[in-house]
Amino acid sequence: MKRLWPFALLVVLGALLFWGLRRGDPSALPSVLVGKPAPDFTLPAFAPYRAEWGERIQLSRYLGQKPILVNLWASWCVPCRDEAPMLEAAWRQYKNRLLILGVNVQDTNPGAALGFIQEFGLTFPSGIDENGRVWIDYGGYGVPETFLIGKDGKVLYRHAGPLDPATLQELLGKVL
Amino acid sequence: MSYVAPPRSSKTSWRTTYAVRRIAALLLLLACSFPPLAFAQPAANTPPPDFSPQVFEIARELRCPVCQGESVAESNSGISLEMRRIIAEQLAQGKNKEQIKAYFVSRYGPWILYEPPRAGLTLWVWLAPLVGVALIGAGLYFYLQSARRRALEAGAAEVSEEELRRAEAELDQS
Amino acid sequence: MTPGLLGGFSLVAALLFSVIGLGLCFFAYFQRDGRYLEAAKRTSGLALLAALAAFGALEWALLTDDFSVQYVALHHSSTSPLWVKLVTPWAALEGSILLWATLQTLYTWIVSWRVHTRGLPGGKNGLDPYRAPIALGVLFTVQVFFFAVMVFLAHPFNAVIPPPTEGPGPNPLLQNHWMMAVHPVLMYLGFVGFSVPFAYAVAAMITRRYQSWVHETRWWTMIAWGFLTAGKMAGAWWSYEVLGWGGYWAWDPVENASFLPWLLATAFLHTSMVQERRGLLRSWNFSLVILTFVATFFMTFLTRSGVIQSVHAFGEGPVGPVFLAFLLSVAFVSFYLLSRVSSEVKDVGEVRLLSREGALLGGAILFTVLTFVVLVGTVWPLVVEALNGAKVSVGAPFFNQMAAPFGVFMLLLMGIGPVLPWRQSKPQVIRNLLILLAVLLIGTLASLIWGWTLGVSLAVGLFLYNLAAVGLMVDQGVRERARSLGISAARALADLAVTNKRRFGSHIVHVGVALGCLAIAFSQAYRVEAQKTLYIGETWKKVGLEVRLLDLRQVQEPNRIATIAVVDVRGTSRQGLWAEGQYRPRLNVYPVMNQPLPSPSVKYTLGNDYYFILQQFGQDERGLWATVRVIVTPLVLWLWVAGMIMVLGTLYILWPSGLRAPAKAPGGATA
Repeated sequence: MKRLWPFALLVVLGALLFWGLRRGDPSALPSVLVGKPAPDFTLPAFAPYRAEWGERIQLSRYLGQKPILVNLWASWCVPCRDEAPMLEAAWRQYKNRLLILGVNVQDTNPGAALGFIQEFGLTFPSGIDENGRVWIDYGGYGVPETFLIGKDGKVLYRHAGPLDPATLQELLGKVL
Repeated sequence: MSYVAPPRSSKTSWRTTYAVRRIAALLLLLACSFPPLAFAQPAANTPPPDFSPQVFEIARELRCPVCQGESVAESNSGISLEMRRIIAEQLAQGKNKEQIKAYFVSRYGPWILYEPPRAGLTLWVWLAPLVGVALIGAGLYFYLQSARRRALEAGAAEVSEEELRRAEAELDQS
Repeated sequence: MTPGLLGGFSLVAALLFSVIGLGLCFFAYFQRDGRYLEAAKRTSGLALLAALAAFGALEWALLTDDFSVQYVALHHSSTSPLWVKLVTPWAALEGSILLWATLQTLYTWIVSWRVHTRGLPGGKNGLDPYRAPIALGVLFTVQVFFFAVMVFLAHPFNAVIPPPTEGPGPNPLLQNHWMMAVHPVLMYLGFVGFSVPFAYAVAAMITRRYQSWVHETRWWTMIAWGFLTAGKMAGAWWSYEVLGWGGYWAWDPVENASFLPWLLATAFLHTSMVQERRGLLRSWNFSLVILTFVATFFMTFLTRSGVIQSVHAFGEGPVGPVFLAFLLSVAFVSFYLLSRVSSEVKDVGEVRLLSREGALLGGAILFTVLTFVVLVGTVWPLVVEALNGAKVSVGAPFFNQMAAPFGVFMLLLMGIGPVLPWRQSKPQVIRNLLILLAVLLIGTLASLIWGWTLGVSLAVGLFLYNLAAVGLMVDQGVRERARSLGISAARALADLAVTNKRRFGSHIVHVGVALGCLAIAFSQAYRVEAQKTLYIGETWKKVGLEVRLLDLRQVQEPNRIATIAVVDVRGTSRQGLWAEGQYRPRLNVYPVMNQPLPSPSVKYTLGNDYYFILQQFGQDERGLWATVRVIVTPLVLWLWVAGMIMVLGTLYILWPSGLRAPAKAPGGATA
């Protein structure tokens, strides 16, 4: 039996590494916010939204009324380009039952971000998170990230990475 | 004088593998279609406050969420720059190291700490040297004891290295 | 003929030659016929030629901007400087495997020349036709694995249709410093080198000749160890110069993984002497060599699989599972071979605590325990995630705390070990030990009084203690020789330096290690770092320096846009005078990376290193501003010196006459 332990160790190490290979994205970092109240933020709104939403967008003003989908994006982020039209379509469809809030994270400049908004004709409001403080408050580790906040003001779900139509539908299904 | 601003945004860590090639292609496209303009001056590029050595000491113990292979003190991603700024601000507010670390843990979980907690499953990693010394030490001790016993039994006829080699050479001849 | 075509053909040819070589080795072994071995030797040359052709084809494609080759299209840009183009083969996954495989063919070919096809009685290369085919066969197997991976999984010459007109260039981090041309090649030369002792060990286990292989592969282990040491030093220097945070070792998972074979090989170099001298620790040495080789594969696996997040990782490739399977099979087969003969390699003899072999074994235990700790620390996040799904990190603060006591014990043993005689302690040794102990105590206490921290004081004490130990031994050796031969001391010293290279070389390496530990202790304990935003013309007084921002410039270079801060530094303290001069830290923006890369400006001095980083810059109503980070670290320069001493010491041991010396004097390690 004494001679078997190196082999046992090898099997354990091999199994561990094999599991490591199969577990999917190694950089995935589960959110610690799920089940907790969504951190509040107040951000300057992009020019197109100021008329309707005011100079500054404050999350707590909308909490408790409707479920909220907070989407963190940036103009330099490639997958965000796939996501934007989907979010816009969802917004148009469920406007009265759901609020979609965009948070523009550490963008190279507001001009680029505005260009992105115009390119995709985004009508849901977005605020400017110049420094990325909101990003850090939400435990972000990439862009895009999407947070689903329930009617009770608690974070229900965080999706890291680009949304695909099925995931978006699933997310919306949880609150609609 | 027109200055090209540093793009402050972090590398899209996001599934780097999947994204990098596309990003590379796209950025190249961007860079070609609108040269430096694409990186025009960001209005919000405000100078950070002055950092004392303590800022970096704390930053060295935190893991950069975006780059994941570097500490917040090492990384130059946008998020690390901002996290260093947060550390400096909180130090100025009189918070201590533990409070600042707790601030980041409440956002990212214990993952953000490069020094794992001495509790639960990560306690074992702290005990690793003891386990290692015990395993290797005990194994070798018993092994050498038996080697010594065999030597005594064999009547101290220890074979020298030269003899062994000669014997092996002879074996090879036969 | 296009580069892609040449490369593709050459790879297939190299694979075929490797398979044929392996087959010939089988025949040679089972038919006991030297002619097959002769043919296998030739085949290894052909495999080398084919591998070189494939490597050359990749360089050809890069130099001619042939974007029809996928590797070139993905990792190359026609605007890169020439040296960047030349080093691009090892900037990404496929090319780096090609480099590894090419070096493996090179080693196999050299080994084949040291293999004799006739049984030589005690011949200097000592390999008989029965063992040689196994050693060569193992090397061919490794070669077959690498070429098969390239041909079937990660082909460097896949075509792109239609070819793009331009590519993104290699990872900008790799373009930032010429050291990148050196570091990976040295590392690979080291890693690949460990396949040779492993191959000989397998041959020894199969043919049941447990002794001579240690001697035969000592040279190879030294070579691989020397390359790996040089490679790690080059990597540390690169990270110091490029990564822009003023550090040289980050305990990143891949750094750790590359540290494992180095630690194990260091342990083997020491315990192999016990086997050479006393025929003891045979299964221990077998295990160490197997583990060293397996550790090199563990390293490549981590780098190429994306299992663990690291700055070094090439990202998730298709090769991860294959590398894992190969690494596990190698470990299984080798440990099976070892367990098969374990009753025969049982040692007979005694190792006393206070003897040379006791100290060597003690050192080896330290190295293996540290290996264990580093391995556990590196994979622990994975273990925790597997057990309860939680994410944790184990990083530099943990490893630093682990490595410090290890360093103390290692330095202690390193000083004592060579002073102790083999088998058992002699009375006159006690005097030497007392002298050393006194040096250690006085050195440490004096440093404490001087005001240094406990850790640094210990490092100073241990450094002096090690110098004293080397001094004592050289002095004694010289005196004995001078007395017995009636020659002058200088003559005796020169004699000893030539005839006892192993002994002298090891002293040199040990002095390098002690110096390196001293440099690490100081640079870790007394590093000062601060950051301030300066407007042009503004002055900042800090750490004995007066820092003035003179100008901020922007330069468009072919492959990047660089912003350069011109900083003038005057010293306000006596020490600060060393730092005086102009510094030009830069922030480079590469089109493929939307994160700027700082390129620091460093002044090396014998005391402190002055390290300036441009962290951020911009323009506001007050004008142009630049955020400058300054890091003052003591004695970093001496770490590079220590590295060079270690490598030079290794070279000294290996220098050609040293090749024959051990054969003449098997107990070369005695004083």
